[in-house]
Amino acid sequence: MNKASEFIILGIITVVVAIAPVMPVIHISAFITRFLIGVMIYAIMAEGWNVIGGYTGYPSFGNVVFFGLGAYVTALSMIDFHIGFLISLILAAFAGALFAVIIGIPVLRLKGHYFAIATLGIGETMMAITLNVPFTGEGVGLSLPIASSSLLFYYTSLIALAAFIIFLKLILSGRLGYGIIAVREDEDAARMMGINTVIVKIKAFAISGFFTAIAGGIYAYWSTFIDPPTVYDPIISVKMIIMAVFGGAGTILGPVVGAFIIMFLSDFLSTHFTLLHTFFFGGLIVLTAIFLPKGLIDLFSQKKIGWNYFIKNIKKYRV
Amino acid sequence: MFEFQVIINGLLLGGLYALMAIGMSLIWGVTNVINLAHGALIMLGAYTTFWLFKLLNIDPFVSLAISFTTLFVFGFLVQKYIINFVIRAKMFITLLLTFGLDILITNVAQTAWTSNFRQTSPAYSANGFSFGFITVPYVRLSAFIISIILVFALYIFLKKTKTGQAIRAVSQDIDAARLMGINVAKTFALTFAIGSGLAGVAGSMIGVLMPITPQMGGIFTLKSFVVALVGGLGTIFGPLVGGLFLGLAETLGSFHLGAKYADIIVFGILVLTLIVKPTGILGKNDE
Repeated sequence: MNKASEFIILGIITVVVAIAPVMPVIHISAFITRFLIGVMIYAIMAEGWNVIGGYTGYPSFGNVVFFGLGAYVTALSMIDFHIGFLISLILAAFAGALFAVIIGIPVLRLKGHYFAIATLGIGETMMAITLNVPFTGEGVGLSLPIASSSLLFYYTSLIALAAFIIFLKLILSGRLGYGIIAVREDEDAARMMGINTVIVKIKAFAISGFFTAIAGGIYAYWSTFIDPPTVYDPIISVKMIIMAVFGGAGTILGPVVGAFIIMFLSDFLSTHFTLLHTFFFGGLIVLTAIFLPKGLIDLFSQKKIGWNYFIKNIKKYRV
Repeated sequence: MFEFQVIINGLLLGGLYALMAIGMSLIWGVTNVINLAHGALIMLGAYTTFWLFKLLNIDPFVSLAISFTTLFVFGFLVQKYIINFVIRAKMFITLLLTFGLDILITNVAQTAWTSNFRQTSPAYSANGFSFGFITVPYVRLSAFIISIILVFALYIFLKKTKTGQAIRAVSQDIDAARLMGINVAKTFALTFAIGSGLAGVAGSMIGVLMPITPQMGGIFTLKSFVVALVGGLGTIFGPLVGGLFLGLAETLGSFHLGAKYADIIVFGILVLTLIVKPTGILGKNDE
């Protein structure tokens, strides 16, 4: 990354960090607060996908399973056990991590497309199971108590996102981070170098599950109603993937940038150009996969941006 | 004797599943693309037949050929002008690309045709014949027979014709095939076209058997994948074996455990196959 863009990005971060906590207090509008909560929840999920899909190189197509699990654990612990929101959220996070370990042990043995489809299947299976076990309210769904203020969600998601980014930054400069990237670059070589690749992959998946479940928990209390088709919707998996890839998979800030831009465009189109919004997600995914597979962060760290950058990918991979 | 009827139902359903999965298996085996838009292609086939029946009163079995041709052309263009651009990129990119196509096609269909449930319902759609306790619906039996005919037709096409041999050559080694003078890009486009056409035929049959909506594709993509995988990737008869297996497992399972467990059984089989024997029933056992 060159000096100028690094400087710009640092500047933007400083401004965001300074403004974000006081945003709701200076009171812009309920609409914007709501929008920002949505952005942050998706940013957490995109970042969660980024850990396993971007950094570790295991593209999960079923990360929504942690979102749904987090939502259900939070809801059940608040409704059935009358536990407070924040403690329920922590329970949900650990449930997400534990579930990632349990499914990770068999599934992370699979490579490439087999892993992708197995995770897709697990997402669908969890939806089917949740629809059929009695204590989850089955197909009817669950209603949560209504929170007194939306500021709670704003600050919870802000803190969770900030904690995730700092945590990831720390992890990546440590032993585990190097292990994770080594697995992505060449798993066999990593094993030869003495890295326990199984443990590394499971840890990465657990981190992904931990934070994605938090996002699910915040969403559940925020929306006050959850049912299996909503919180296990495969489209949610797709959204996290495209946000991470569009912003820049394998970079810390990429998924956050992707989440913000995509949520903004999606909101804008759905209010002003309804017909265009129909083509938005599908079209964006197709265009990103062909012209921008490395994401915006990579684009802006180029010295010179020209048409050549966009067709470089095609030139390399077409038949 | 309910059990026997259930087995017959399972086999007939299996024929339909095989029909769905042939196209996906072919595309996967030759181009190494797992086409996540496969269900959307099935949906397009279903709507082609539905509209031809509704507006022009064309019999669904006659419109099979039209459905095949329409989807053939559509698939050819999609592969030639979209997927071919990134086909040698990482698996993840082609997965993402076809997922994007799936969402795009589904959303366009939804805008054009609304989400209402529709069904192609010719006068004979509920008819069947029975002997003893067993009832066999005509349409399901036809789907079963068509599926088997198509598997053998594809087998002969791939073995005997020049184009078929080119497709098999490309699936084995792109560079060697190119050295032999095969146009790889065109062969990929043709393969995808045939796969799409077969998906279209499957969709036409499904439209007669069950209600259709623009969103119906997702579950069929997953089921086609499971069938292709369980049967064995890159084998011509894999989809048939996998389809019959899945049809039987799903029908017997939901008969004994309850209909709501049908999907859980399908995905249970998927995850178990991936873990225990990812090469499938007919696949070779090497890595």
